[in-house]
Order: sequence, then C-alpha cells, then structure tokens
Amino acid sequence: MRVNKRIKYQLVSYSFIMPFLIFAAVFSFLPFFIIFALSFYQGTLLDLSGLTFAGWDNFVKVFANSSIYLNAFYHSLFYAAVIIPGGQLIALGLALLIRKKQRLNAVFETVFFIPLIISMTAAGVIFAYLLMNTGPLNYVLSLFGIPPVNWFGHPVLAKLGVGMLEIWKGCTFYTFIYIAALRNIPADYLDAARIDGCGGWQELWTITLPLIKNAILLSVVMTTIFMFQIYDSIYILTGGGPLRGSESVAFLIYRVTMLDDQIGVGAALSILFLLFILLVSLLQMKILRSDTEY
Amino acid sequence: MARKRQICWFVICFLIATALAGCGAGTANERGGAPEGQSGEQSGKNTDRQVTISFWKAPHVKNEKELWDNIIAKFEEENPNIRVEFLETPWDGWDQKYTAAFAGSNPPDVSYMSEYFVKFAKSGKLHDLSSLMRDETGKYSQSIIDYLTVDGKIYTKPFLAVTSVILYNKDLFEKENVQIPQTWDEFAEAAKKLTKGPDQWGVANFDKLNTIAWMGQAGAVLYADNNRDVTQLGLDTPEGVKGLQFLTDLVLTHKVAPPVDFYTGDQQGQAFYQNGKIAMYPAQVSFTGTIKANNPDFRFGAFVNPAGPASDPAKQREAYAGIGTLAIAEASKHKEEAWKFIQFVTSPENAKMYLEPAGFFSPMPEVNETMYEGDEIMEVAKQTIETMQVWTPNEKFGKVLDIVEQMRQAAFRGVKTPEQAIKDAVKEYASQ
Repeated sequence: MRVNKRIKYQLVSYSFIMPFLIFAAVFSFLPFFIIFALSFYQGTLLDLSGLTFAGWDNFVKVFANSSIYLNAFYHSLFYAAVIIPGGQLIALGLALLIRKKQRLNAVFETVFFIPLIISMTAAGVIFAYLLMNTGPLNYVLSLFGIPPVNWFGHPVLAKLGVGMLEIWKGCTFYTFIYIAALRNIPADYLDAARIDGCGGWQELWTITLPLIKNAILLSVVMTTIFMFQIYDSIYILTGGGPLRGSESVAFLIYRVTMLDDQIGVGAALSILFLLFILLVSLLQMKILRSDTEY
Repeated sequence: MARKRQICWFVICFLIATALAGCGAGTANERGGAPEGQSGEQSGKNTDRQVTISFWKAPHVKNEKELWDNIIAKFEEENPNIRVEFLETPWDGWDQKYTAAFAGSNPPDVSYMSEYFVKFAKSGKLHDLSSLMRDETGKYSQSIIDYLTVDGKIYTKPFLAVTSVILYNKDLFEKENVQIPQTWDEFAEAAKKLTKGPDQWGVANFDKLNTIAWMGQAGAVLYADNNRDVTQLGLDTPEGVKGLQFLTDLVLTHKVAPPVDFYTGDQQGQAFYQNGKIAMYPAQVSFTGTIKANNPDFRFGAFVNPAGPASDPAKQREAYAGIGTLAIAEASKHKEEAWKFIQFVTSPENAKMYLEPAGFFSPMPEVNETMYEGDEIMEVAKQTIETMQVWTPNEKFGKVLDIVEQMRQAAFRGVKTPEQAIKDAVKEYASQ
C-alpha cells in the first residue's frame, strides 16, 4: 500500500516536468542523436534516403582540411573574447546604476528591455545602415575629422561590428539577471559595511560582487554558450565576409551543410564543436563555482 | 465539476484538431487538388475541382511580379480550373532555400532554375520530362539539348537565354570623346579617360560571373580538361592569372573601377550607373529591361566585350551567358497541370510577354527573329547570343560561385596576388 502511494507520488511529480522532458526530447535530444548519427554518413540533403555509411571519414576530412575550418574557430574565440567580457561589464554596470527601485530607474528598465524584443533581423538591418560607408556613424566620425571607417571591408572591423550588434542586442538581458541578484542582497550587509567605513569601490569588490557570484556564473556560462553559437547576426550583417573573415563556427557549419551540401562533414563539425563548448562550460563552472549562501 | 471536465476535453480536442489541420495543410498544390490516385488529367477535366499549382522564380527585373501576374491571368483565363500561385524568391540564398524546399516535402510544382538544376535532377527531385520533350527537342540547338541532358534524361524545359554586354553611358562617352573600345588595351584607356575620382568611375560590376567571363577572354576555362572535368577548377593557368590580373589592375593599380565595398549590393551599383556615376557597366542584358521601365530618359548604349588575348577567337569576347529553364518537382501532385503551364509559358507568343519587357532572348531562334526589332541595344546583344557559350552543368555550381567570389574579392582587395587567389580557389574546390 505504501509502495503504491510512493509510486503515485512520484508519477504525479514527474507529470509536472513531463511537458519539458517531451519538449527537450523532441527538440534537443532527438536532433542531437540524429546529428551524431549523421556525422558517420555521407550524402546530400536532397536525398537523405541515399546516405552511405562513412565511418570516421567525416572527422578525418575535418582534421585534414583543418586549415580551412580553423579560421572560423579563431573567429569564434575572438567573438567570445570581445563579447563576453564587454557585454557582461556593460550589463553589470547598467545594473549597478539602476539597482535601486526608483521611478526613473523603471523607465531605464523599459528602455533596456527594448533591444531584447527587437528581432535580430531588424537589429541587423539597423546596424548595417549605421555602419555602412555613408552611414550615420561615419558621418559622426567625420564631424571630428576622423576618416570614414570601412566596417565591412576588414575582417577585424567586421567582427567588431558583429560584436557591437550582439552586445547591444543581448547584454541588457543579463542586466536584468544582475538587477535581480543585486536586489536580493540583504541591506544589512551594505549598511554594516558602510558603518565600518567601507568605500564604494571596496563595497563593490568585497561585498557586492562575491554575493552575486552565482548570477555572474549563470550569466557568463549562458553568454559563452550563446556566443559560440552566434550565426544570425553574422548572416544579416556581414554574410560571413569579407573573405569569410567574420564567420563563426556555427556559420561555418551552416555553410558546409547547406551551401556545400556536405551534411556529414557539417554534422562532424557540430559534434566536435559541441565537445569544445562542453569543455569550456565545465571549466567555467569549476573556476567560478560558488558556495555563497545568504 | 463534470461540466468543467467536459469543457476541458472540448478545448483539448479543439486544439488537437487545429494542430492536425495545420499539419495537413501542406503546400498550395495540395489544397483543393485532386485526391491521391486521381490523375491530373482527370482532375483537369473536372471543372468543379479547382487545382492550384505553385510557381517559384527569382526576379530578373524590378517588375517581375507584375509581368507574371499578366501571364498567369491569361493562363487562368484559358484554363479556368487551374490556379497558379506565383512566389518571387530572392536570389540571395537561392540554393539553400530551394534545397530546403526540395529536401522536405514542400517543393513548388513549377520552378525556374538556372545552372543549379543539375543538383536537383541528379537527386531525383525533378520530374523526368524526356518523353514530354521528345517532340520539342528539334526546336532547340544541339548545344542547348546537351546542356539540359543529365545522365541521359531531360529534366527541364528551356525558357530564356541570357547573355551579357557592356552598357555605357552615352553622355559621358560623348563628353570625354571616347570611342567604343575593341580590345583590352583600348578598354583600359577608355576607363582611365572616363574616371573622375570617386564620383565617376570608368567601369564597375566585375562580379563573380563577369570575373569568370573575363578570365575566359584571356583563354582560361572554368573547369579542368577544357571544361570536361567538373570535379576540378581549370582557372589555375597563365591565362587565368592574366585575366584576373587585368581586372585587379583596373581596381588597384589604375583605380578606374571602384573598390569592392564601394557600393553594397547589385541594386546600389545599378543605381550608380543610372545616376551617371559609372561610365561602363558589364551586365546581363536583362538589366536593360529595368532601365527602360524605371529610367526611360537615360541615354545608354551597349557594346560587346572587348577582345581579350585568348588564342581561341571564340573566347576572346566571352561573356556570361546562360539558359533559364522551368522544371516540375517530382513530388508535385499536379504534374499534368504543371506541364500545361510550362507549355503555355514557353510558347513563342506567351514567352514574349515576359522575355521582351525583361530584356531576354528565347532559346528558340525562331522567336528571337521577331523580337526587339529596331532596338539598338538588343541588336548588339543578338550578336552575343549567336556565339554564346554556356558553362558545363555541374551539381556543385553554387559552391563554384562561392569560391570564385572569395577569389575575386581576395585579389581586388589586394589581400592575395591574383595567382595566389586562384591557387587557393582551386585547392578549396578540390577539397570538397
């Protein structure tokens, strides 16, 4: 009787997470297994029934042509190096500025929310206009005597353009995570620190940041995973150019799969990159692990 | 409580029914079509049953939809039980979009296909038109039939022939007293005379298609073994280097052609030409249709490409040329209606409704005889259509264009020498 009750209790519990499990199974686990299986096959997207087993050939091909594929990997590292710290610093700075619940801050919160609800396509078009040779940004630069910058003519500048778009479009999401964490810090801690003569910088460094370490960890891991997957902003803003100089690994996988029609190689690249992202995420969680409780 | 449960069940059933209906809606060709197993002919004869076929085409002119609306209206008038849904698909990402559509179960019944058709034919995604085309092959030249034949079968019907010329601004030519150039040297000299800094360029629009053509004028071939081996590019020859070097010099050394990023996209380049900022503009002749429609007062003329140094006289004035075709998806449930539409569109009388305003030729020589009479520009274009050379069909054509684009940009940006850019392009293609 007791066993039946326990089973019933567990069934009820699992039923609550069942919708998510089904969703994850269909849209995450199933595609993963399909991609994993595809990485051992060769063929064309147009004839999936004609795929032939290729063993490790696709992985061998990736490593044999690594000089072609590695550039995209370096570009992804560049994006991570620029967007993660840049975006997180801006997000945290904005959160610190509007941490207090005030009427004016509520206005800022709304303004910061706007980039999140704009689609990446629209945002990309706006940035393409802003950064074009005869665009407003170069006009502003010319007012200060600075010659126009050809944002889409140089690989580094093109990547910076994508970085600016990603930071503008995405960083305020983390601002809201930080605001929530900052507002959760008990006021007593900060009051006690001030009574003890703690300055603003000291308070931030020794009290505020350690107490929101969990939020920082969450934000950094999330943004890292997102940044290694950026594709849409590149597609819209630079098309991967110039000379494939702004292609990320995700964009490369798309190109190899859809344009080159090498689904096996594309799948192999996806699996290898998944392993890399997993490794980076594990390292981040180990380094930033927090045992803070309050 | 029981009532609440009833309402709940009703809502669930409604949602499931809606979802299933949505899944089952499918493409336009499935709606209101003949049921499975019933032939298109039967459905066509049944006047009560409306058959809808979808037709996809990327635009060649600005008023593309307007032109097709007229043709489709005429077709629907003659075939009241067939409705045609036209969708203008962009050229940008064409390969990916059509690949996705044909890979799924959602392809258009009829689609316009350029050099890309081979990949779809080889994958069994296009309906074999060999038996339907049996009585028609005599209307086309043997080279066109060879071009269309994939593994011994014909999957597409030729609809239009496109060729390229150099369009020039008459006002600028007269002002600078420049004569029509006949050789590469004369062309470079003319471009120098016509260039007045960033506000007026001598020549522009050496895109990937023109780049291949101009390398051809130097004697290069796109594919190895004199275009017979499509598994390798044949551009890595002294002739290929000479061709790319000539174009690179126009951009970097003589500065008579704008740098790669000077304008974004073809449309901006076309606007620059029509605004008098570009004197010579190598372009597909169909561009003249857009100019005539949007800028009727613009004074422009055309000349065939100046002769390059190729030893083969047939290649010296090589220009991009291609055959546009119409195909029926193997997955189409209304092949008979789709064929009826293709036959209607490609008939000499109806084809003109599109070809003339769009600035194209017909792949059927008899049709061209009565088109563009007295049109100065199209008379020049007719000279090129007689000697047009189309590239060998290749299922990896999309990849070829992508690699050539990287090659030309690397050279024009000065990132690589023309020789190195060609070598890298050939190497990348070989790694596929």
